Amino acid sequence: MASVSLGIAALVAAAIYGFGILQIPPKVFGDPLGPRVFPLLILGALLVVAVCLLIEGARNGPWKESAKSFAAFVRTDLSVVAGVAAWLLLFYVALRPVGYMISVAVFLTGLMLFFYHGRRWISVVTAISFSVVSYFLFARLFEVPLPAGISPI
Amino acid sequence: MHTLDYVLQGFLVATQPINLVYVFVGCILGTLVGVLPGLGPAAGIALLLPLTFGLEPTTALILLSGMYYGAMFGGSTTSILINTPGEASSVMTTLDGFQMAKNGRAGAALAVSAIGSLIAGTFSVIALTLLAVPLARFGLRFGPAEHFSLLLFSMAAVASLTGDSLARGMLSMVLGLMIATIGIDLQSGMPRFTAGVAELQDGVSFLVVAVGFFAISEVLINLENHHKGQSVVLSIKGRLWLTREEWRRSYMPIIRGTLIGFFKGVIPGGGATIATILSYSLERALSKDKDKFGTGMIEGVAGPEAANNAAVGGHWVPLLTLGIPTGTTTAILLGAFLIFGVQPGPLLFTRNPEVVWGLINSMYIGNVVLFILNLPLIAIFVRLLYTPTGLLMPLILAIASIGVYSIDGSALDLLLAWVFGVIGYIFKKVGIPIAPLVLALLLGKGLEQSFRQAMTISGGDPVIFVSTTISVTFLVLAVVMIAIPIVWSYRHAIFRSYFSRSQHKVA
Repeated sequence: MASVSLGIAALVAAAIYGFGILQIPPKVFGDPLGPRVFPLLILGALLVVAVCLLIEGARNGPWKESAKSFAAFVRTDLSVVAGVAAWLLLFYVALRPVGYMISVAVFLTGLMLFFYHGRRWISVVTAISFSVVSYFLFARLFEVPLPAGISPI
Repeated sequence: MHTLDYVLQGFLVATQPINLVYVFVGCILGTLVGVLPGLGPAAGIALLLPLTFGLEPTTALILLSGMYYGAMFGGSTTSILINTPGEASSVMTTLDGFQMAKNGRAGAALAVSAIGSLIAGTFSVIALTLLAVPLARFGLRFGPAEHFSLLLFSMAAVASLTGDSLARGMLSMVLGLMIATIGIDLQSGMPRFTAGVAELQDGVSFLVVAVGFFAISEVLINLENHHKGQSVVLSIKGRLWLTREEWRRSYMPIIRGTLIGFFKGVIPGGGATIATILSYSLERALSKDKDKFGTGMIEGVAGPEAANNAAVGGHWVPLLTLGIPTGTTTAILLGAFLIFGVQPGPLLFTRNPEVVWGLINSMYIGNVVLFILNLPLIAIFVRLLYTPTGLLMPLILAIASIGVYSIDGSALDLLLAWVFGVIGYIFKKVGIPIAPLVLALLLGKGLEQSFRQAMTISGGDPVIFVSTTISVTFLVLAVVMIAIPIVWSYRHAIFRSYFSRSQHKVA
């Protein structure tokens, strides 16, 4: 099932990429081949790969087994990964307006409280101390331009 | 200036106090990365890379390469003590290493691994020193057509030999090439696939892709596994050295593993993992006690560990002399070279001799540092295995995010890293190898440039790609690489039809 899904995804990607190729001017003065030729070759390769994946999926057979294991994954683990991914995205969105120290502290506290099964204060202290120490280490020592946001420092 | 003078000058560079410090730091960080299960050298280097921007190129590359071979050195520890390889190439070590630990010989397993790694690492650096200049001279004969064929061969080899499915490897490679075409076209100056976003005109930053695919996706996988349950850590029992009998049984596997590892390392595709599988299979085939393999045979640790570390030295040969990475970590290292404005390839040895020889010679020092660090301090490194995953993984995620943000202070980079992290997670779940994508992303622009240059020289005639022996050889090798997995999957049917035909003839 995975191969067929990947084959279909590859065809969708090919359609999007093909649309992108149409936006590139075909030839430019001083460039005999033009900027479209290489992407067109890649598009051809992607279509071949998509067909190979569909054939591979058809040959691999028992769809029911794959569907069952996928359903089991969705029921058990997907929620954890999706939650972490969503939390990370929220952290990235908040990083600039809220600032490095506060957003990192909140982000880490949330994750650690969920995944660390020891004493809760350890998660909170680790998260806050990392955000403060890393801010001074990276922003002051390594001169990485970290956003200050709403924090007073 | 003679090559020997450059080599000696390289030693002076490598032994500068600042570089010695960074060899040491790189080895320690590499060992830590190797010891941490689930965080491989590629992820470790991708995480550290943004933080090295302030260093001199030679010093930064010495640090990153120290991390690479340090991770290989340290990867065996988790294989032996928790039956979980620190990186893919330590998988074979788990078979007998963990059994040795269960039998109370963890100390001997760690010692033979360290000794094998020292011998193999030193041999491969000597071989690299000897082979580098002749190969670089050979590389000078490459024109655009030869360069295109070489890059195609390299990508085909990695795509076909990495992972279980040729189609998935190829998909990964094509996606990498697609990402590489984003940005301003170098020849015509036209923007491609930028969707009007000005920040994409320079293309997608390699580091953003690397951090997303390696660091973020690995953390997601690790947190998922952590949610399912935890591994048991075995304590180190027995003295940290070999008995005379164990040494007698180990030295030939180390020598054989070293040779296999180095020569496999030079060839693109499969990384050090294939070298360790070959070494393990050879030791099992040569042993009188074949059935005892998997129950704690020291030969099953000595050979693969030597092969693993020798392959690392082998990987440097095509990377430094031809600018061709042979696997995931060398692809990240190629990215690091380019970020520091150092172009690996034939001209590296004449344009940046102090960088390349300083780097190569630092590896001699690094191997000794690792040996000294690993045996007496192994108990300290092992403490890291007790660091709760629930605290460690979120910290890695935060460091990865700082790394991405530090490139340009761009929110778009963070968003892209998130997207690549999620895609990387899906890739790992459905068995798509990441190495071909990273390699294609790095080599894609070079591939296109050499293709278009060759076609311009020939006036649009593609015969130029089969006009020289070198180019034809690489194209044939690329086809062979793609054919190998196909022939392998149909081998039973092929042999069956061949034998039935020959039986018909005899009848």
